[in-house]
Amino acid sequence: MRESRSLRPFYCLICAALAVATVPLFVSSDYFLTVFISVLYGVYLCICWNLVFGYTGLFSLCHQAFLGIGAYTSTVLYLNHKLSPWLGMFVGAFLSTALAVGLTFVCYRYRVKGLFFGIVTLAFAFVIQNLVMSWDYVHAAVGISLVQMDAPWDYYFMERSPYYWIILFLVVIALAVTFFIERSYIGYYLKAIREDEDAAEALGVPSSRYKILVMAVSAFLISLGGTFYAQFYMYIHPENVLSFGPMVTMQVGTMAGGAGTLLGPVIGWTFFGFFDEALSWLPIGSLSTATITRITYGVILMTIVIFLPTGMVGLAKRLSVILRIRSRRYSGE
Amino acid sequence: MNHRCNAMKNGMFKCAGTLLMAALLSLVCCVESSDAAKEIKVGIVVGLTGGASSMGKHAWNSYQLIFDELNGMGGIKSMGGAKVKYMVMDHQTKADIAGSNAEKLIRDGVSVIFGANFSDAAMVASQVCQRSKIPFIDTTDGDVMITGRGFDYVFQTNPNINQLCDGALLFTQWLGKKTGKAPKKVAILNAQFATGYAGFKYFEETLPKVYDVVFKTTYPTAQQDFTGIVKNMKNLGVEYVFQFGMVADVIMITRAYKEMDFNPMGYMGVSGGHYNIDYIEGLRKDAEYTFCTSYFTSDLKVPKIKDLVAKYRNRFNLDFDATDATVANGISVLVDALERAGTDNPTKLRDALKTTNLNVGQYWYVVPDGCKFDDKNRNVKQHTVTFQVRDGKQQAVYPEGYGSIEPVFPIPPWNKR
Amino acid sequence: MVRGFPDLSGTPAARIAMQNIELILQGICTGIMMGLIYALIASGFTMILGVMNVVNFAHGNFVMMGMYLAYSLGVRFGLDPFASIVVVIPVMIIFGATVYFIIIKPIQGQPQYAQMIVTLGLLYVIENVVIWIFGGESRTLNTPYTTAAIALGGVRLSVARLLGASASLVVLGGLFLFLYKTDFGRAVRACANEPESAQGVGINLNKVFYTAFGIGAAMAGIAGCIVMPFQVCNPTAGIPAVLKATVIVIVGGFGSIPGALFGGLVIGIAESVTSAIWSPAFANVVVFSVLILMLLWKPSGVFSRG
Repeated sequence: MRESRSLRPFYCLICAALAVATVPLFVSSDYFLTVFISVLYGVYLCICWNLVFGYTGLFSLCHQAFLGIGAYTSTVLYLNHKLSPWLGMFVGAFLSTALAVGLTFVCYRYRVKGLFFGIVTLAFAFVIQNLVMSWDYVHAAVGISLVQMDAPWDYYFMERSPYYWIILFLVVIALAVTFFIERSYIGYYLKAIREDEDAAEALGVPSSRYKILVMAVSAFLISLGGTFYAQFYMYIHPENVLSFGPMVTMQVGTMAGGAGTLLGPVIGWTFFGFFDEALSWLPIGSLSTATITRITYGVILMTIVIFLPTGMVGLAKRLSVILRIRSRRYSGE
Repeated sequence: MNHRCNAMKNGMFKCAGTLLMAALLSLVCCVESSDAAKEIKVGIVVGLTGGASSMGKHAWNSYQLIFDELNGMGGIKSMGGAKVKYMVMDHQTKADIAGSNAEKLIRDGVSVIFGANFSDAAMVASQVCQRSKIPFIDTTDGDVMITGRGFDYVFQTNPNINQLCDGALLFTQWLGKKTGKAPKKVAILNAQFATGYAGFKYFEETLPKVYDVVFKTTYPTAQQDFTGIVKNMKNLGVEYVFQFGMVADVIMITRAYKEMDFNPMGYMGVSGGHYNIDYIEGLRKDAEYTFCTSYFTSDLKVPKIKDLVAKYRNRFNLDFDATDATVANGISVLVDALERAGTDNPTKLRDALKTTNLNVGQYWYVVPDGCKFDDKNRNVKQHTVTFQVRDGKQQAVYPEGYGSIEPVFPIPPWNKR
Repeated sequence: MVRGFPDLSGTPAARIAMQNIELILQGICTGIMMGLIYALIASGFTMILGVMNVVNFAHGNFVMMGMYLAYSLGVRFGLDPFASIVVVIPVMIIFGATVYFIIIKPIQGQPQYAQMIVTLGLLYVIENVVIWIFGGESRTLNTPYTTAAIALGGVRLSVARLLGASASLVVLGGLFLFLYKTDFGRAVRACANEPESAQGVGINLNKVFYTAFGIGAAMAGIAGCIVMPFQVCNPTAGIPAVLKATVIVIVGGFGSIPGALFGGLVIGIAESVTSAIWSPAFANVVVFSVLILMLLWKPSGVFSRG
């Protein structure tokens, strides 16, 4: 069954992105723009992780390290060497890519796969976090704070809307990369590696090369996201860019939406991101309300994995098939 | 064919869905709440869930208690008796949520925001306020960077970590002179959290000028085993320890002192875990003789305190602690500024805040000597308060004249307690 | 004293050398005691992993539940944490079996990442339930022996940790006896090694899985009780515990109880000695480096399942 080579879905994506881009034009409230930006940021993280986990089946638990490296590199270069974060973010991205390639290569060389790969990457991420926590040059446990100013050439904006467009642009780029990889031969290889790596290798797929490639691309992209985080939230600390927190975001969003699909991460984290923000709208009458809601969040997560492993996208596909069968039945009669 | 239709449908659903969502949300934005006359809207961003929740709950209690009292007394007189409408948001001990909390409050029309009992949250929320030109009054956080970024709308009413360190050092020197037994070899311990580490770095620069710092170390906040650290200090003959930690680890450290039979002349916590009541509750008798430099004790000889302590216990059945005191101070500063400004216009309010000169005892200001901001919006008038745990209570020993007891120094060794 | 050689025992150099040796010995002693306790935590984790191939990320939270149970019983009834073990065992066995039924059983066929996410969700739920009931603050108990210590030369052994380590040994011994000397224990091991053959011989796989999960949870609960006398617990104590268990299981080998013991001791001593000699912050890096090296050298662990 050949995949459709049509670019229609890509054009749809562009249309949707343009529609979403017009939001700042009629939403003037900073609050809502910030909520959208933080949801888009989460979506971006999920898309990057989806490339590695959803499409290739690599259980990478170190993506938060690349996020943090991106954030810290561009920030430190700016503070100490006056290098604009627009350039610094590429330095960070290249550093992350190099580390990703190195890590994946070492794992290939020592035949570390599956769950063990996950554990090695987790250990790697914790080592990076501990190092940054103890290294004075990057301000260790104190964190680095930036000052907001009007300096567009240095990635600082006084308004929220430029940040909105930047993160939207990043999301579109990441989706485009995913889309084109998915439909190309690389996509076939990655899927083969995900389904059964040994069989794929037996058929001649150079699995190590493509695993390294996809880890490199994913690390590069997520690193750019790290710089965005630094420039938007203006405060970076090992607890918010290097800890397991962002990884939970990536897992929840991707799994809930549907791993290995293009729109899965988008739908998954859009839902959870808004849900999370809605938690703070709850009245503070009963202090337990927020905690109970978070318990429900965990329960929903477990339910999705048990009953809906293909995520919301899978559910949508099944529903659309059912609807189509129904409509055909009615039109036939 | 089906596949193409499917993908296009997906794309269209996404477009439609997003547009609908955006339209709905912007409708919500447009519905402005009608501004009732003569009401001052005050926003509060605190951590009611998550790691900072115990401090956050205390803070929230005090905001309620004191603002309700203010309103009961007739509100702000220079504004014709305008009452304060306070709105709280929970930042869940997460910095990014604090940012969106602040933005939501600003959207709801607050004239000033209080926060945040968590440094990261304060950093982000204060930045949001500066951008929107709304005053941000930090009552509880000690991070130096909060007022170190040149933000003229951001104020810090409580001493920051550097000021606390200065106070701790001053006290220790005073103690040495008073008893004639000054320590020579000291150690610095700290847990890896923002203010603790900042204090540690500050002490690394300032302590060696006065004492011989023979041992200093940083440990992860989840650290459970301190026997190695204590053994090191014993080996080096450490006579006095300055500590920055959170409740869990400082309890474990004091226990390790007893286990390892480490008997320095004294040990001093700089804010952080040592001033938390749980420290005494967790250690019981073993907490005795610990020093701590912090913001407040309830036995300070300040008239207003007894009254507040009683009211607080009455309403919440809890002890009025240092976090509550910092909130009381912060509200006093706001009320004073509002009275002088005669308006809740944020910019005029900021100007009034800048010229604050309050004394202890005015409004609900409960810590000597009051509040006066320097050009960085830092309170340079308030003293730090050092207490020693005696008879299971935090009893002030410094500044002189405000406490009821004399410090015991050097503290008795473990086998003589 | 040897004739002709000067008596150096009183000199500063000798004193410093002596102190450093004591420091290392202190690290080793504390490390052994803590290592035995870690081994207990890891034993439950490795059993669940070995028998049904499930990575239970919520295992650290089972330990945390044990701690809170001991705390509640201690505060409400004045029960010593060691006495609370009697209550905690049945509670945790039932809890473990329930968790298996509701969450693990439905995903038995699915790939391993599914388990990870599901147990992560469980971790999240347990943590927040504990926060809901107890609040987010740290809790601690005071027993008569909390700060007691025995002096052996320059080294001081914490009585609470000593008791904890001894209890761990006893429990681990009991587990070992159960697995190797009882019929049901042999059935459990059979399922771990050869599930298909075990079923062929008529062993009820389901029953074994329920029991294994229950026992694993009970091990964790007991460990929680054991550490309560000297530790401070809070709702986020689960994640560091499960990470340590993971490292220990990698070092010792999946499904191996002697491996858990070995791994526990290795990690306990490495952590403690590094903490004493270099710095506590560095101890974490050392532990993770051990993990990475093990995974590169021998991922199946030192005592691989045979």
